[in-house]
Amino acid sequence: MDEEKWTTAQIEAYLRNTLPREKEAQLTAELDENEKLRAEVAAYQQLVNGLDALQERSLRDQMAGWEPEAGLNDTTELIAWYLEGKLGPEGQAQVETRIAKNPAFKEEVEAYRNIIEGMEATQDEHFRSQLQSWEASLASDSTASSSLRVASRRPVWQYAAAAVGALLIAFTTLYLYAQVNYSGPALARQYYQAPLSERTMGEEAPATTALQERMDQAHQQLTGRDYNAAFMAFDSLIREIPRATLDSFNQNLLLEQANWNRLLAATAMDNPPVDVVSEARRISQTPGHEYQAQAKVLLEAIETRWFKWAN
Amino acid sequence: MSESYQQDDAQLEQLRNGDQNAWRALYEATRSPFRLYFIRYGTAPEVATDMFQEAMVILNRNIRTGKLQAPLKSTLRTYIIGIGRVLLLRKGTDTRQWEGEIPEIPILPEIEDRQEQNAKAQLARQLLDQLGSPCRELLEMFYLKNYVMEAIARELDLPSPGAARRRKHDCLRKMRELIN
Repeated sequence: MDEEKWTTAQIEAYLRNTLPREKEAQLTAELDENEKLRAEVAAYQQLVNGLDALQERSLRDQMAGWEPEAGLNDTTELIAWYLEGKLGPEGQAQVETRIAKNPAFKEEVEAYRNIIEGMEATQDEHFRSQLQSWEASLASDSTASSSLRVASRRPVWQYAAAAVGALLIAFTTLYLYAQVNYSGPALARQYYQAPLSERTMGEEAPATTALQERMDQAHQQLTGRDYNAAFMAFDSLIREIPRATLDSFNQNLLLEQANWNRLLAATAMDNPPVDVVSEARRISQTPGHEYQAQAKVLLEAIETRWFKWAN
Repeated sequence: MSESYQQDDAQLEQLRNGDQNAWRALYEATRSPFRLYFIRYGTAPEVATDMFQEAMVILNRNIRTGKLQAPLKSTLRTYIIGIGRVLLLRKGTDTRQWEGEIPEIPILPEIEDRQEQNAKAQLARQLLDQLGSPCRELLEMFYLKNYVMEAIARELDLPSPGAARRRKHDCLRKMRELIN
């Protein structure tokens, strides 16, 4: 039997170890004797390996696309694991080294520590007032049954101090809540969405690729919290996209992405060069805008008292 | 067999059929527990993320080559963490004292040679690009997107899965002829 008698299907099955045993033994025996068949099988092996490798590369590309969104909360998650004691001794030590070396990370850890402690204190305070109300209820029952008036052992100023303390804790917790959820940078992070890649390997015009690269860089600046640079980068893209040689669909898509991300960068800035409320309103009122729905929600957030308080 | 493994078996079937939503759902559901597991034992967070992606690629290969089949002996999450532990063992980190058993996971050595993999992928891409559009489309559906023959027949308007299978081998032969 020569190589012509073995079909492509049989050779592929042999390479994938799915050929029936008897046939496999037969082909193996022929391979020992037939050089031409060996070359044929080797060529198919090359194809199968190449297609498998291509499939894996496609999966890697896909994962790279999922990663920005999946990894958005990595730092928060790491800090929460650390503060909740979920990391073992080695993990805890590693985070502590990072805290010692990285002031920005240390600041984040402290912010989250305050929030968690604030929440716990609020819970304690709530429980304490519950205890006091049970105590008061028991005392009133006792008074009613014995008709005896028992003076409180605790002076009034102690209750007043406790009330002030509770108010302070509540105020701090609320302020931290506003900071974490409604500060400009928090909103920018919350509403940011990594763009879905529109690239197709080797099929783009150089102008599109150059624009896309600048867009990627601007996104990196935004996710890297360099809001001033990100604002300038998106602002410059907004001026240049209409001049680029692009079909109207891609031009519109890129322009809407740039406008939305420039708005997010401006929201996070201390002194934004554009009126954030007007710009959010403009996008929210543009029919068919890619980010119309998000702009509506963002507009609601920046018009709340929380936003004014946190900024 | 426990209920949870049955769920994982069903998920495995979706992954085998190249369901992109199932792959993404698995990625998102497993990423965080995988990272926590390895960071807890001192792996740097960035390294844990890279390891996770590598483990997903190995899972994909083991599903494709039939090394991982239902009924599963562990959850998919445990299996992926097991791959991560084998990867660390290969790099010289002793993970034997860590919590949880390592499932027996076959990992071919060549998976780790990314350069070689890239060269193979590049050749396949060149050959695919030289094929006519119908053949390229069919081979991409089968090999890159893991479509089953029924789906290929439906997508390409072929009369039956058998016809799609025959066409696939015709196209593979055409691709092979381009090597000479």
